[in-house]
Amino acid sequence: MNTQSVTITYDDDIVRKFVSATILWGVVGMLVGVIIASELAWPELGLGVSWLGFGRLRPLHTNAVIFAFVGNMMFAGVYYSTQRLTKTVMPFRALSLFHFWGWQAIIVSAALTLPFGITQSKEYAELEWPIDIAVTLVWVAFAINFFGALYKRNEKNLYVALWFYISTVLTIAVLYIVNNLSIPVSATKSYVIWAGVQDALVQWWYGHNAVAFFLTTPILGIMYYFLPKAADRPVFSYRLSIVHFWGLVFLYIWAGPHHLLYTALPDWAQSLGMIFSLMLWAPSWGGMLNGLLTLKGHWDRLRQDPIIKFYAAAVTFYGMSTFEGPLMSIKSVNGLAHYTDWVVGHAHGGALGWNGFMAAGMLYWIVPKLWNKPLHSVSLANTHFWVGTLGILLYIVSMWVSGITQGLMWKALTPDGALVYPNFVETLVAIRPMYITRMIGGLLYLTGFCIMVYNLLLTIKGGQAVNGTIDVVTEQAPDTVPATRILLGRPMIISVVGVGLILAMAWTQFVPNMIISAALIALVVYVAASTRFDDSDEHSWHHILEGKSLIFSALVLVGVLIGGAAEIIPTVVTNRALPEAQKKLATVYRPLELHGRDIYVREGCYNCHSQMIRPMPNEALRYGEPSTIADSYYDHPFQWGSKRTGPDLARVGGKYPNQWHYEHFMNPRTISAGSNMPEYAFLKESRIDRNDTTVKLHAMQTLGVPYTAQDVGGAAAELEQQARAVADDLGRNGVKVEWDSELVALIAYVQRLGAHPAAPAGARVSLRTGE
Amino acid sequence: MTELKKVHVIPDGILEEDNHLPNWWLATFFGAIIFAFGYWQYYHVLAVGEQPGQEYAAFKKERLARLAREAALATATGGISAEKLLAMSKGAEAKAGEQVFMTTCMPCHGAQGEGKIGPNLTDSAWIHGEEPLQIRESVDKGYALKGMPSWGPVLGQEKLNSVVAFVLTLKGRNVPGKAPEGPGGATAPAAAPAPGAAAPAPDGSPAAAPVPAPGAAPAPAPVAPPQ
Repeated sequence: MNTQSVTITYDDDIVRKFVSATILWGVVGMLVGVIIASELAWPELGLGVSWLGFGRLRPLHTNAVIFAFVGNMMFAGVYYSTQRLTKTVMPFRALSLFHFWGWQAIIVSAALTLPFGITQSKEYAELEWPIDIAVTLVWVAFAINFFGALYKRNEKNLYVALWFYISTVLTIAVLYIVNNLSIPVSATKSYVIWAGVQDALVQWWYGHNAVAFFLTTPILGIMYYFLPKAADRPVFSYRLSIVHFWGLVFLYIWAGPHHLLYTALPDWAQSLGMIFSLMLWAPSWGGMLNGLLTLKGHWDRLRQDPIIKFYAAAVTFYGMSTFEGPLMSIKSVNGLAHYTDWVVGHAHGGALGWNGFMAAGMLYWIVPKLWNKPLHSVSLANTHFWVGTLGILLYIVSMWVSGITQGLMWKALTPDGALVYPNFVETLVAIRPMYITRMIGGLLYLTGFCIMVYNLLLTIKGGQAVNGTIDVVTEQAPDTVPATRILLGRPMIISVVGVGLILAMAWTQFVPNMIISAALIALVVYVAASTRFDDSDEHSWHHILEGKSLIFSALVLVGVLIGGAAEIIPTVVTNRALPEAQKKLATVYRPLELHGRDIYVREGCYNCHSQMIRPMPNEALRYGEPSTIADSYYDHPFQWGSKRTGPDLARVGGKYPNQWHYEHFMNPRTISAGSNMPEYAFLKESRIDRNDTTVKLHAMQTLGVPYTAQDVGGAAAELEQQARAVADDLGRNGVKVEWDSELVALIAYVQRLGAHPAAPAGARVSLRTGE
Repeated sequence: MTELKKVHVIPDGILEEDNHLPNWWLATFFGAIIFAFGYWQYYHVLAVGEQPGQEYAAFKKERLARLAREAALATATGGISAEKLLAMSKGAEAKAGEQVFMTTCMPCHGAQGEGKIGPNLTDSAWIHGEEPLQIRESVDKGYALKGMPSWGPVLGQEKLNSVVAFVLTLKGRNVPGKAPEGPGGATAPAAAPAPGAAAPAPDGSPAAAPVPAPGAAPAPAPVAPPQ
């Protein structure tokens, strides 16, 4: 045994950098949030300027708060705590710097592309392909650095905070790459390889797990380090941390389809999304319990210490959001809540309450340590807490009221079966007071945040940057426990059998299926009993596993891959095998419509309009026959949307004349008083780039859209013919518009939605007359 | 229940207890897991529960059957007539109809019916006929190729009749606005296509714009024909 004592100086400079970036981007991201919230209440604020439109700025807001604000906060927390939990310094200073500056460059490029309509239109994955590559490279640098620290650690066992960081680093890499696979058509434009229902599933597998593995698991890790440090209390339960960690990692990944309930996604996948979301409730609350019960018995600290206030509130909001999430995943609840502001309120309960307050708690604790000076003002921190809390409550309560009101108004039918509110805009006008309340809530929250920024800047001013040190006795004790002790251990065998049985359920029916179900439930009961009576000592299976970082990481990766593979692979396979008769009903866009579609994507229309009619009476009456898989079969990317600030557009084609759309795009309020849609008059002045047509069609061909060589060859002529027909039609009604203007292309696209040439009248069926 | 177990010492001064998991928490966890199996069996293995698509199909079938019954009943009892609509146009129904008009029809036909995107309703020219029942038919079924939606299913019988009653009061007011179109007006009308007709309109109107897509052959409508 070789023992020596050395003094290690942690690299806290990189933490200070990430902390500073967190403060900066927090203000920017939330400010954009307040601006777009104001636009929804007062649409005139967009000034008719393209890059101020809601559809272009909303992705900037979401990307800024998720990846810039929470991202930098997470990296600060991870770099600070990982070094201390592994008793080692980050192995590659150059990679740390590359990570920091690379990440900031990515944020700046997001800010320089998203407002200008350079977007993939996939929520929280809007960044175009060159930036995606940069994100991947920076993430790999982070991963090398992080796993390097685990490799050379001077502490044998990994603490639960590190488990959560491992799951974050690995899962985000997988999610990000798979969701962003695309074919570039220019430096600023690409088409994703997935289409229609596949794209929807992959997107929400990503989207939901960005929430899970970017906004939740790393923050739980940060909670496990910073909360006991700040409270100076022991963590409540080791075994609870084991159960809820593996529960979250395995179950979370399956839950993505709860974003797609009642859509054209196959029913089996929808059901998996729902039941896995319900099973997630307890593991999520495990995190909350381990946070709150760590504070138990010391609630007096809550009165004195603003940091404890922030942590206690953050963990409580986490508990609230993770109860609300499973609730909203129940199909019947989702039928009311989906597409409404309730979802927005739910997201902000997590973002403002959990992420924002965890960030505040961490920053108030870490800044005085990093700059070796006490916090400038405790009372200002308390003020921040109360202003912020009031802001959150106004925000989420107004969104509950708004969402449930609008959901009920959409559904309301008269006794003779007609819509009570046939005009969509009536339901929008009804919730406008809630939009104003929400804006005030957001503004209060931002105000609280700015108070913190002021407080922290005054703390930093006159402080002195210091790096933590530790004396480490490096024991090079060889690891004598064989890997087979882990791989053949009882928990491993139970897990493999359990997962095998779950997968076997996919291939069995009726009696064998019931038997497997019963076997699985017996397994669950057995596990329940053993967690109750088992003693977790130094020689327990999990304790040994914590000493083997490589096997630990591999098991995490396998755990997260199972759910994604189980849902995505069958969907892709069955989608490929769609019957020819149905494939023929799929929309193949004409060249002008393809240009129009790219404009629809560029303007971010999907942020407010769905293209997915659910099989419900009110939706059929309002929008037409429920959407099918065929409708969006060749849609790269899919445009199903997730929110209806405006009506569904899946079958809007042919519903109104071209002139209606012209007037409506020029100023929506002349047609629809009370609408909060931005004005798109600027599209009349800009021209489509006809040099791109062939490239776009070729890319679509490569992706499997059945354009013939003849289609591609004659594209220019066909485009002009269709565009002139639309422009001439408008001209006959006294509207002068150039045939190659973007407005004409967008109108052509919108008029094509749901209007299939093979079945022109099929899109609209009357449930009253039966015709 | 949650008696203190041994305490682990974590680096950087963190301590970790090993308390038992709260029983109520375990109950929610294992309860949710068992529910999940039950749900899966009920909806997907035994397939007792109905999926949204099946539910919708059942609703649609029942709804169409009810409509057929109601239509038969309406025919038997005389249903709506030109006389009834004219009488309504002089009563409170027209007032109610005005409210419907202001939200539903105004964007295209103007606040006074003077015409905007849609034709002038106050002149003597009527593209699809000026008889009360013809007007009702136009509002009810719409003219998809001309951009007139079919409002019947959206509004329901009561609002449909009241808005027609209101439109009847507009007739002959001759509010200056869009030039007259249709028989009786200044311009000769094109032959009005029948509602729902698949033939392309000659003027490049929207529903005619999509021609068969490349590679797409005519195929059955995506919607099963109503019973």
